[in-house]
Amino acid sequence: MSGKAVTVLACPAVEPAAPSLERAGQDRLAEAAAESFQFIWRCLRRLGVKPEAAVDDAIQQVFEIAARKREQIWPGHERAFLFKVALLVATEWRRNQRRGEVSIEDAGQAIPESVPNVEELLDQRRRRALLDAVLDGMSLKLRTVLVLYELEERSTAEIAELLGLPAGTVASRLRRARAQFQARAERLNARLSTERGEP
Amino acid sequence: MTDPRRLLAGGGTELERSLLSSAASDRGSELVRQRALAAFGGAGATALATGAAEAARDAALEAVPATKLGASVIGKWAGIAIALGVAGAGVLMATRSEPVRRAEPALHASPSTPRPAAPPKVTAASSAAPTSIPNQLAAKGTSAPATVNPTPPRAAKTAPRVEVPRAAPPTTAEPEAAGSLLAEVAALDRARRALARGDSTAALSALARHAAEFPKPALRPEATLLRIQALMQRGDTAAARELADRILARQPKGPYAERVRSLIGASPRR
Repeated sequence: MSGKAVTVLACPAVEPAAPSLERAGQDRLAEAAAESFQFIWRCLRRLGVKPEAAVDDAIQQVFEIAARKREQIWPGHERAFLFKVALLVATEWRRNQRRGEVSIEDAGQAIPESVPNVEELLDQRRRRALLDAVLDGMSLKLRTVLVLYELEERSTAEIAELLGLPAGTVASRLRRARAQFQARAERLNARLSTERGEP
Repeated sequence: MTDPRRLLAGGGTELERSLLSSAASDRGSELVRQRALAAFGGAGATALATGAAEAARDAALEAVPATKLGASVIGKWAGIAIALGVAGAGVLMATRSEPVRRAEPALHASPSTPRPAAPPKVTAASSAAPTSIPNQLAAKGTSAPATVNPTPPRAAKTAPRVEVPRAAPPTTAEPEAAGSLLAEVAALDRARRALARGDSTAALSALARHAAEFPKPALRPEATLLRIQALMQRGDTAAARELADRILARQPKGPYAERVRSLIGASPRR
């Protein structure tokens, strides 16, 4: 820590809580964390934290930050808070990856040099690597909406609540995100077809 | 406003659906889950107990057929989970090396709805306790300039209602079981770290030590997955596949089956 004072999340419920209320908040957050673990893990992964070992570290960071800030979380908004922290952590990872501070060397995740045949394309790891390659070209804000809608199957209303955005903004981002995703997938498809020698 | 048809539900091309569906079975491991939830210390006990059934199911891989899972197994895990929660984060965190002091991301509220009183600003300096965990991100000691705008609470004009927590069920702590589990977590963490740095030999050594120290491991599935991963990393695909095949033959639809297939590069089961 640099020691620099920064403003942190502040919610109205900042009065010193009685021990039992603190405990209630802790239990609720811990329950939300237990229920949301896979959701948060998948989101970190699809939002660009890689390789897999880095996701494990990133989710640890998410939960530690949430645990330290548990008294600032509104009751009933634990899951949304965890997601916000995950988004923040993913942002940091992506930034550091771009700076080269975090190694992104991972053979399993790299875009394959050779062209996969149909059978290989069915391979889950390979498809995931291709999926990540397609997503990697998108901005985080569009990628986030796409991941929540298409992979996590959240409604636009839920996404709006999670992100604290108007529903119209989410719908607009989703349209752009899908257009980008489909355009990139189409380019990938064209590349695969060309390298396979298909017309 | 109607949500558009999802790409996976037929709104996309075959390639788009193929790409998107590949993410379905991606999931964090039980080991990581246990460690992450330990961040909540005592309060994590309830949550860990909540997840005990899932943990028990995962632990059953190789050990007993899933259909034979009974209350005793779940009860055992619930007990361990509660004891683990009581043991607190400190112990688990101590199992991780490379202590670093991580910067805490800045979280800033910008409420879009009026609030009853201006929330006081809190400086991170007061809450940024040093954290003793390894993290590549923290290696640079970066601070996070990004901003988070939390979703404004719907009932912001009223005081937040805080429910009285459910009374914890009476339980006898199982310090021995918890201690054993913590030791297992530490042992497997060594293997995982070795794998992360590409040292498959060290990973396999750590797994061999784990097998010797824990003849009846609670984290057997985790250890098996790590072993397969280590063998693949070493290039011993034959041994990795043999081990994977044994597991898949026993539990082709088990909770770790897709992960096992993914590790050895097999096609997903359809």
